[in-house]
Amino acid sequence: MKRLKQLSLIFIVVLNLVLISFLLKNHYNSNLKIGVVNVETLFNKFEMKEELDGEYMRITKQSQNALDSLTTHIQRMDLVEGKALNRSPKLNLMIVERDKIAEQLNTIKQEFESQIWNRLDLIIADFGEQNEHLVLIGNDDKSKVLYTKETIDITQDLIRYANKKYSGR
Amino acid sequence: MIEKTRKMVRKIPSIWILMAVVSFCCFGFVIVKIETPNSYMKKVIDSSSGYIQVHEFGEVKLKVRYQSPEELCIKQTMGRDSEFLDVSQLKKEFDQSMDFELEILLPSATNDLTKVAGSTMAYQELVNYLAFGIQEDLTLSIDEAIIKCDFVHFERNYGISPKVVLQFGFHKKETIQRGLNSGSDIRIRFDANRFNLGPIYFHFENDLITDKPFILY
Repeated sequence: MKRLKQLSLIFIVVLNLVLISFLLKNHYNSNLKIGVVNVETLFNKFEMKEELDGEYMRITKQSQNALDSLTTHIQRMDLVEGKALNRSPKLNLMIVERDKIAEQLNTIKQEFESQIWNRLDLIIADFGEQNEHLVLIGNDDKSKVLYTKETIDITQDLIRYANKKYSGR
Repeated sequence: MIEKTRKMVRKIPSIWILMAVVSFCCFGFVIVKIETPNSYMKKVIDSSSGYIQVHEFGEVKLKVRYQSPEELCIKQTMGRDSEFLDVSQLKKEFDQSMDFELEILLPSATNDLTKVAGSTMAYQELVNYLAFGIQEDLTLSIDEAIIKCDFVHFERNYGISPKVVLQFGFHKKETIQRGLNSGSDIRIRFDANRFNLGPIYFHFENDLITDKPFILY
């Protein structure tokens, strides 16, 4: 009888210890919610990027004819004028025009990228707040994250969330 | 047969109770479906009803609100004696198009367009854009179809309110009607490149658009 009492006491103590450590572990984990995101994948799979890429291709196509034509003329005139010290005004004008178009296209591309990142920044902040993340770490080739466990890779979740938010749902 | 049924019903009181419950439920269902203009307006301006979709970009907030034919009817008939108004005809007219309101809430530091624009020249350009140019940047998509905006009305507020409000809409073409009949949702796209925000989508459920409440005028 005494032996039985001792055994039940030991069992209850062990059970309580297990329960307490389980609760502490959960509490500890929930306070340290960290997520890792493959930034490049997120950026490339973001619907806004796909749309603006399409828009950029359309704008580029429109300017491409003018750009190609100018490049051809410049190359031809360069051959004709040879290695002259001073280029003709007409050639200089063409070069300026070509560079202007190239710069415009580059500006548009940068604007689009900036719009995408501005939108993503807001969405990521929303996501982090809603899911109570303490930290969200960007992981790609350029970052210094050396190792992450698969369970904290939330790239796909964030892609789904970002696309849902972008489409207005 | 009828006499047998009567005797049976008299004998079993639970049938009476069941009949009473069913009648009460039917009556309650009818009561819930009937709305007054005030109750309907409260519903449509409630941000959780789905009639309003919001996007926030830092301090700037963009809101698109769907204005149902019933809402437009109520606004038109408010304060007037409904006896002398053909409400059903009004509703038919408003049902020819899908109307929306776009509200751009500006940062608290600015309370008129001049501060957003930055200069008088840019201010005039912005006003022109809001009055005319913005129509090109508003489209409606349903299924695979993309429909251009048919009309825009910009309400200038001359700096007395920190927001820009404009009404815009789409005539209910066959494509839209077909899509709505098949249960498709709609999306309003605003190309906010003028504000350097890129494309912004506002999603509206089909149930909301096709809802036909009974309103007691």
